[in-house]
Amino acid sequence: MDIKLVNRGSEGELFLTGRIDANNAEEMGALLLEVAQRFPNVTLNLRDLSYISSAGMLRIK
Amino acid sequence: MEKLTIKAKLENLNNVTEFVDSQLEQMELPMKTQMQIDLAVEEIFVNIAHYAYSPEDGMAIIEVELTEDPRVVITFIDSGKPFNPLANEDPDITQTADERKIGGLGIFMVKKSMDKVSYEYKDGHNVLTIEKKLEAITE
Repeated sequence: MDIKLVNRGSEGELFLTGRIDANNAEEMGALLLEVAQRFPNVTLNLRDLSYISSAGMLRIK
Repeated sequence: MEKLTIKAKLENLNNVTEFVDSQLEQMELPMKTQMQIDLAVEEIFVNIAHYAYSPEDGMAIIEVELTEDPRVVITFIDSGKPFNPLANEDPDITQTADERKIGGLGIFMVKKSMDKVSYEYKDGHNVLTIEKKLEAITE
């Protein structure tokens, strides 16, 4: 999984690429939380995400 | 049929996926089919790792069979607490993430992506079997 954050002022856009599975979902979730605390609005760009399991979906929720 | 016996721990997920993928390598499957199988394997094995023996540890057996049709038949066996994952209602995916109850999404995804999913509790073991018709990439 690769993660890139683009700061657009009041919004952060997080680009997630690769795979999110049970092995890295927790790490991804922790990062999402951190980003959510920095920006009032967060956009997740999953365009280049090739795989996500329920573990990843739960963290996004 | 090939068989893997492994500790049902999350850290072994990659080993399990690699084992299954190695059995399917010869089929040169379309990426979508490969991903669906990987997803089903993950969802089932992670459930066993998290719940079957909790808080203790235990073993899981993964059997992979390629049939003539061709189909892949993958069986997951554990001797943990009796649990039929197919007995629960499917999550309501029309609800938003906030409205929807947690749980059940993994097995729902398995049911949607596999052609057949079956469960039995036999001789003290949970036995969950998934089947997927296979279609090799055509040149």
